[in-house]
Amino acid sequence: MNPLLNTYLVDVRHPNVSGAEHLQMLHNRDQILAIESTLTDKEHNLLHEADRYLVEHAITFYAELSQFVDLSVYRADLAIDPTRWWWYLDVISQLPLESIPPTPHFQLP
Amino acid sequence: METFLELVRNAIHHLRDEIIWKPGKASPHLQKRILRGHLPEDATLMDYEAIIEQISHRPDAKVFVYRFGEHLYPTILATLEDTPWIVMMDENGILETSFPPDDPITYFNNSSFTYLGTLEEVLS
Repeated sequence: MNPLLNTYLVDVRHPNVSGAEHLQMLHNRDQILAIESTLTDKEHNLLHEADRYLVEHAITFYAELSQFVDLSVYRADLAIDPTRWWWYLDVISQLPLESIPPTPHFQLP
Repeated sequence: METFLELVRNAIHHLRDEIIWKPGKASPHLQKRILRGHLPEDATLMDYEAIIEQISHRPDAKVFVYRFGEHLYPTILATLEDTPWIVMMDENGILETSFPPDDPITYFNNSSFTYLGTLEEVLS
């Protein structure tokens, strides 16, 4: 399995660890975006499941992250657009879970 | 009033006196270390804390501070068996996390981190 994906699959299942680690996870997700076209079908499915888990647990991830970083400021400083939705956990954590579409490619409303 | 450096020194001393995790955080951090392969499958919390102990006593370890608003997180970086590990604590010396960053150069290439010196220099 792609090592970046392997790392992400573990990281995303631990929302209760420090935001200092979640920050690294989000940067890792950026790297996965860059190589996503090289992933196998199976790896794509695993990535989508992991992304779904991240979305569903956005509140917990954001609670930890918010002790380390202001995501809105961070996004502005690094010009992070909404296609990199994992940097918008502050926004996602405010959305009703039922409003989040169960599609592989999550898009911010 | 405690100076910035005194605060960092005191935090590190408190951690060295006793490793205290935030409530409920020891187990998830240990589990993640094991699943990430940073610690062996049969590693215990005692094994994990032994690493933290080593890092926080290495005179050549690098000391940084992560600043977020009014919050300070003294952070120690040291290499153990060719693997860089960090130990991050809050200003009271309560452990925040300890893990080997995937890429320490990238991890610390963040304006929120300020390098203070080696552990020996900071504590002297």
